[in-house]
Parts: sequence; structure tokens; C-alpha cells
Amino acid sequence: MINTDNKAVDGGMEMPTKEAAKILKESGYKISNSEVDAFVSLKDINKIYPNGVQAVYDFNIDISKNDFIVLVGPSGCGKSTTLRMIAGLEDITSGYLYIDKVLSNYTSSKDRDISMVFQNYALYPQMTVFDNIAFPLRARKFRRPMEANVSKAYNQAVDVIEHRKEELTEARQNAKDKALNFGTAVEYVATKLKICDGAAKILCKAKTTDVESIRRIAKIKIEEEKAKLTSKGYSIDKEYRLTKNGEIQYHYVKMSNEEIRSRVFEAAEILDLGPYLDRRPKELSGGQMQRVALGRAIVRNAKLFLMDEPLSNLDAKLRVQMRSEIVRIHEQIGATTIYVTHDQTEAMTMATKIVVMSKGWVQQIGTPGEIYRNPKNIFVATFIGSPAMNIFDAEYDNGRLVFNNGYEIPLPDETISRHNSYYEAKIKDLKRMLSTPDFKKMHALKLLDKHLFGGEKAFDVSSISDDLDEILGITADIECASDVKSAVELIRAESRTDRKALLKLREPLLTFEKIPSSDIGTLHNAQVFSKEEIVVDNTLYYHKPKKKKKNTKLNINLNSTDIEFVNNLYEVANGLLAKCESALVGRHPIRVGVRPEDIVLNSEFEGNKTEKFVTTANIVELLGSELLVHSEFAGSDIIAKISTNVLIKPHTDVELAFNKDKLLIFDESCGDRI
Amino acid sequence: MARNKITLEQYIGFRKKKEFGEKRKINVGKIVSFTFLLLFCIVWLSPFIIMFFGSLRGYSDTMLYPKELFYPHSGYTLENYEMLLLGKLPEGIGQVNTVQDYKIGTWFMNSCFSAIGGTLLYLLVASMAAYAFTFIDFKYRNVLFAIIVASMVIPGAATSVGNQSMVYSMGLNRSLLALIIPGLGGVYGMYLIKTFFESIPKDLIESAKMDGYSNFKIFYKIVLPLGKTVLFVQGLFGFMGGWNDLIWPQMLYGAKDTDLWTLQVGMAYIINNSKTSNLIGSALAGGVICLLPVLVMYIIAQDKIIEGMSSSGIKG
Repeated sequence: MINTDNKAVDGGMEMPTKEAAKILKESGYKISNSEVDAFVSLKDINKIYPNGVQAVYDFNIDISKNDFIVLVGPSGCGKSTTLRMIAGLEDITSGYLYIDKVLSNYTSSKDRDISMVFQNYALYPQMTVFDNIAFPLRARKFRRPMEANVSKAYNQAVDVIEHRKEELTEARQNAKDKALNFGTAVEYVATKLKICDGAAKILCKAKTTDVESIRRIAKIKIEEEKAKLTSKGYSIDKEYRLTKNGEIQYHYVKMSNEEIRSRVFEAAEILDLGPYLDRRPKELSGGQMQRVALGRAIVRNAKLFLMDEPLSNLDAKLRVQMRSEIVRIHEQIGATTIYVTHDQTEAMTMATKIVVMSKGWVQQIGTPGEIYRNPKNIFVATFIGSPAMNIFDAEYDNGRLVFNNGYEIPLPDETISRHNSYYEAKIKDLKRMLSTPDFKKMHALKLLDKHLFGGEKAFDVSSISDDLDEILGITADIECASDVKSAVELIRAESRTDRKALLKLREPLLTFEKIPSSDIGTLHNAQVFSKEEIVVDNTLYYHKPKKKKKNTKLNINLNSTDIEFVNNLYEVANGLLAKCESALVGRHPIRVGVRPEDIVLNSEFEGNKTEKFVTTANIVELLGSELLVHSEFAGSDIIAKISTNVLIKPHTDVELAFNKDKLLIFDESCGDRI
Repeated sequence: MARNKITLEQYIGFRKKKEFGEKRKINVGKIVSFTFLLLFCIVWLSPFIIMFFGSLRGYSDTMLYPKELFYPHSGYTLENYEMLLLGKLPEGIGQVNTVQDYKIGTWFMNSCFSAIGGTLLYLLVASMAAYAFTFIDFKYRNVLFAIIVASMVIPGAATSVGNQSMVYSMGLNRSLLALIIPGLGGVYGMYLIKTFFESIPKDLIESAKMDGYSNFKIFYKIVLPLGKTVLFVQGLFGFMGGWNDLIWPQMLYGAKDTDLWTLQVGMAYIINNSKTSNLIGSALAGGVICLLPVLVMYIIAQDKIIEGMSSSGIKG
């Protein structure tokens, strides 16, 4: 457990292992990092499950205080896994997680000071709503000043009897009549009169309400306690706190009942749960259960709120209602929140910052407006926004967009220069990528594997001589060059060779360093978002568990290292480079995105629009203030969102145009926005 | 509309009702199955009936069995019970073939200790083990569980000799604890409880963990209250097993340690001693004494048992 009293040490320092152990022990395993500035910071977080599936790739985000972060993406994109890693329910494979500037990778979830709302609410069915909300408060001990309980109780009791006798009789009467939401009469009296439980107990048990007799007893008891405490060296101040040498003394105690009650009532008030406190979860509706779950989360005043699709079990209307409720609560208590959802509407309406994820990769991080207006790539553009963005296949021809029905849009100079600089930057980046040793090795492997897995068992050395030369040339300036060279020489020593010798050559080539995740991300997107039909295996590489192979015919372990490349990254990178180069020269395919509201009626729109085009409205949906017009253009379905000023009938021709300022262009091969 | 007229819409419903009420179809299958069930019921009940009425017959009546099963000519008598519980022999019985005294009270208490104490202790151990196997992630958890479940196939009789020598070497050969301790390693109950625990949503446990509860607190504050029904069912099974066990206590305690005998061992002894037909009544009375606590317990807890069994998926 982290000792909160210790000061954190800087995790960035380098030192020998022994010293590190010593320093860590002294600091109570509390590590900070001077570079981490944000409240919650995730640095290069990876998650690989034991079965080899990688769920999250290099997740980076800085979250500042009071933020409402929404992780959004289709199911299976790793958003829940990320949340569970932050919560400590799932191990982090690699990377660093800082919560409140303290490294929290290895702290258990209870020490991270986090509260979480689960999708299925996770309410305890055997407890009442009150107990459910109070449950987190009863778990741990809190630092509180030491108090003279007996003196406090008796003084309060005497005070009540002297000055508020009517209230007391009323409260006692009511406590007998109806226990209300309280377990016992004592609790009721204590809450009603705002006194501590001890005082309420005295008042409830006292047979008389005679001031003198109670005062007499009180005097004796107070004297007794005072004598006991002074013998230990404590003195009591005005608020019944114990002091020693003038300093207030603290200890760790369980939260007192009156404090729990006040906190639960406060939370219940925020959530309008007052009338339901004595019910059990079974007797509540979905929305109420959700509110109880929220109440359980907010009652603890945790540093960080995590919510895992909390609204997905509610019906549509309730969902909208709870959405605003959660936003309201967030504003009211101002806690930093991380919220996971697959619903882009929720993300857009609630977040201060959205993280769009796809297949384990973070696609874009930004405010809702930013993400809506400037999507980074085609995935974000189509995922965010409802109805989804219209995507057309078109061709880019020297500053003009040519659709496949001949419709043309001339682009402004600004866009053309952006287009060119985008491809130049991309080419530069890909060339750098291809010159790294890892990609060179992959290139060599490709040449080698062509023969190795070609089906033949033995080869003439002369037939593969050219490729061997090429391999030597590629690997000339990387660190395994000498190994490769000796292996090649060994092959060339004889006129015929077999697979065994080639596998020997393969061994040094299989030692990969870590390829930067940004590069893998680029290549991943190039496969997933390109239009070409490649058999895409979503796991780019994985750490193969070391297992003895049984019954291998070759009797050689092909997997000489623990990394196996499922996809040929080299080929993808090479293909991408070729496409980028051709894009700068002449006509090349491109994708154009237009949001439904940016397809406008030609007669209505006055701004910067393209040439009009005529299309047939197939389906017209009336949404109240707007019309959704489904029609066809340039071989693909389009949806236009048009205000209801003009009535459009189905199966009639409409004159539409694009809002020229809002056209988005996406690269064909990797889906990036240009 | 006149009072005695109805619409056709109403008439159709009326006729349907009439048909249904008057000419209810005779369901042959139902009758057959009912008859069979009744038959089996009688067959099942008859030993109990014979036992109960037989135990109320006097020493001098026993020869007239079965002609006077329900109406003994000298009337019902409690002399069999008196003989067992108070040691009072009926008149004219002569020399009874007893070597040891009948200490029914002691045996009863021993049985209670073994059945109730053993059950409670086993429930504690088994539910804790089930919790660990369900909710705590430790290394080789699945392997360990597979080994434990595999040990279920070994019959109890095969391990009893080993158990006996182990208990003796622990120095428990003159102690009632020996009745309980070997049973604590039972797998079946743990497996049953684990199956039920697996149906508890993991969210509940994760949520409590995040709130700062330790495993033990989660166990008794959340998992135990939720698993009440299955614990009850397993408790009943355990109680029945402990109460009815004969071989194990017989193996443990010799013929002279009558103070350590359980009711079952004692009953076996009584039955052994009642082989002459005129003492049959005392054997039957012993049976009733054995049966009574279990029966009473079942009647009290009937609803809960059925609820628990259906919720934990046990049939038959």
C-alpha cells in the first residue's frame, strides 16, 4: 500500500538496481515524473492479453483536472480495456500510468482513489439503496482528529435538554411512530436534532427529561474521561478535539455514522433519490438504479470517475435524460471523469474531450467541435456525426476533383498546396521508415521466404544467387551484416543447398528491434482504411508463447525469436510509398467526404457552393425541423439534411450542391485527411 | 336488447365455456401416471409406516406380525421407547442380550455434534475455497481446481483407511473431532458452491474492491448473503451425510468406546441385539429416533430447500 505521508521520488532517474530498490523502499514505492504535468497521464499504454491478442496499442493522453473525457469507438476497439487498466482491474502490459502525478501501474485499484460506474450498475441486491450508497464509505479508515467522545455526547445531550426540549420530544415521538428511512430510533433522533450518535443514545435511553439528573450524570462521566485523557497527556479543546502540546492529534478511524448519513443524504439530494433510500435495487427502475450507481460513485469524492457504458441498458428517452443528468452532476461536483461509450451522440454531447478509437489504436483526440469539423482520417469522419458523412470515390486531377459521373469541382489553391505538401511529407516519412534496420530485414526476409516456402526442398545455389546478392546489399549497413554474410558464404560453399541452410540465414534476420508504434499505426491504418481488398489480419504482430513444437517434419523450429510477423509490414509500406509517389505526378483516386448538412439545396444556399447537380430523392424522412433526403450521386448513396422550408416529395428531382468550404478530402490508400 | 337474448359474439364464448366446464376430456395419460406415482408413493412409504406402527407395538405383540400391524390386540405402547431411552425393560422379557448399555442421549449428542458442527465448519471451508477459486486470480488456479475436481472420482471407501490412520496419528482416535476433520476436504460441496458463485456478476466484486474492501470483507458482506440459498442446500446435504454416516464412525471407535458412538453406530448395535423376533419393536423404535430429527428439520425448512434446489440447479 502506498503510504500517503511519503514524498514521491522522480521515476526518471537512472541508477544501479540495488540502489533503486533501496530508494523505492524509502519512498514507499511512490514514484512521480517531472515531465508529467497532467492530472491523469497515460504514456504508451499497451495491452496484450495472454492469448496474444493486442487490445490497445500505444495509448497516449493527458487529462487535466475537471475534464470529461469520452472514449468512443465501435465495440471491440479497446476502449473498455483502457478504462479497466486505469481502474486497475486489468494489468498494463507496457507503458506508464500516472494518476495525480504518481505512477500507478502497480498500485492496486483500491489505492488509486477511483470510483467506477459499471454498465450493469453492480448494485448489491441484498442491501437497501442507503446501504448501497454508504458501502464505499464503510470500507476504509479516514484521517480524523481524535475526539473526546463521551464529553461531546454528554455536553450535546445536556444542551438539547436545556434549550430544545420541544424538538426532542417531537423527534422521540416521531422516531417511535415511524422509523422512516432509518434503521433505529437513535439514528433518527441524531439526524433530526443534528447531534452525534452518542448524544442521541443518551437522550433516547434517559428515563427522565429532568435536566438536573442528566447534568449530574454528565458531570461525573465528563470528569472521568477528562482524568483518563489527561493521564495520557492529552488535553481537550473547545470542539472536543484532543491536543497534545498544542497540536491537534489525528488518527485513522472508520467514518462515523452521522458523517456517513450526511454524505449519503447529500448524494441522494443531488440525484433525487430521497424517497427511495429504504428500497432494494430490485424495486427500482433502470434509471433509478443508474442513479444509485452514480450516487455510490460520487459519495466518496474520489479523484477520478470512471464510467463504463453506464447508459447502454436504458431505453432511448431515459438515456437522453440521464445524459444531461450526468453532465449536470459533473458540473456540480467537478470531478475528473473518463467515460466509455460506443454511442457517438453521447460522446459529442457530454465530452470536453473525445478520444476516438478503432481496433486498439487511438485515431484522434480533441474537443467535440474539433473532431466534428476536422476529422483526422476517414474513420473518425464517418464514425462521428449522425447521419454519417457521405463518402464519394473521385479522382484528383491537377487541382480538380473529378467524380465518376463526370462532375467536377475545382479546388482552391490552398487545398492544392496542402495536397502536395501532404504527399511530400508522407513520402519522406515512408522513406525514413523503410531505411530503418527492421524494415531492411523484413525486405531481406521477403526475398528469402520466397524460396524457403516456395515448395521445393532443395535448390541450386546459382538459381537463388541474385537474391542472395540483393540480401547482402540490403543488409550491408545494419548490425547483423556479418552474421548474414557468413550464412550466405556457407550457402555458396556448395552447389546445391537445402532449407536447413536457408533457415540458418533466416535466423539473424529475425532479430527485430522495436518498430515505433507510430509507424505501425500508420501502416495499420493503411491496411484497414484502404479500399483495396487485402486479407487484413488485425493483429499485426504478437508475442508468440514459447511452446515446444510437436511433430515437425523439418525438425527445426521456424520461430527462432518470439516475434512473428503476421502481416508483411514491408510490403504495405512499399505499396504505400509507390502510391504516394504516383499521387504527386498525375491523376489518382481520392475520397471526398461531405457531411449531410453540407449538401444543400441549390436554390436555398447563398454561400460558397459548387455547381448544382440534379438527383432523384428516393426516400425523404421528416425529422421535424429537418428533412433527410436519401438519393444517389456518382454511384453512391447520399444523405442530405435539409431544413423543412422547402417540401421535397419522394421520387422527384431535386437540385443539390455541395458547400464548398466544408468539403473534406481523404487519401485513398491510408484514409488520412489531406 | 332483451334480457334473454345474447349476441352471437357472446354466445360463442358462452358455449366454449360450457363445453369446457361440462365435458372435460378424460386424460388417460394423466390417470396412468397418477396411478403409477401413487403406487410408488405407497411402496416408498410402507417401510416408514411399518416402522412407525411396529415401534408402538408391545413386546408381547410382536409375534403377531403382520396380521395386527395397525391394531395390536393389547393396544399401543411406548415400552420399546422406554427400553431404549430409559433402560426400563418390559415385564417378562427375561435376559436381554445386551453387552453394552444403550446410551441414546450421548449418541444423539455425538451425532448432533458431528452433523451440525461438521456441516457448519465444512460450509465455511468450502465457501471460502469456492470464493478463492472463483474471484481470486492466482497462479495455476485452473490446474489446481482440475486436480481437486479429479479427486472426486476416488470413492470414499478407498481413502477411509488412509484417513483413519492419519486421524489416529494426529492423536484424535479418542476424540469426536475425528468425525469432522477428514470431511472438510470434500470436493462436491465446494464444487456446488463454486458453480453458484460463478453466477454472481464480477462487477459486484470489482466494484467492492475499488471501494477498498479486502477479499475477506467482500466474502462475508457480499458473496455470502448472495449465496445464501446454495449454502443452505449444501448445509442440508452435509447434515444428512453427517447424520446418516455409519462406516466412518464405526471404523474410528471401537466396541468399547460407547461414549463416542454416534446414533447410527448405536442403532446398528441395537438392531444387532434385536435379532430375536420379539425384540423387533426396539429396533424399529431406534429407527424412528434416528429419523425424527431429519424429518423435523425437513418439515421446517421445506420451502427453503425447494427454492434453493431449484435455484442452484439440482434435480431429483
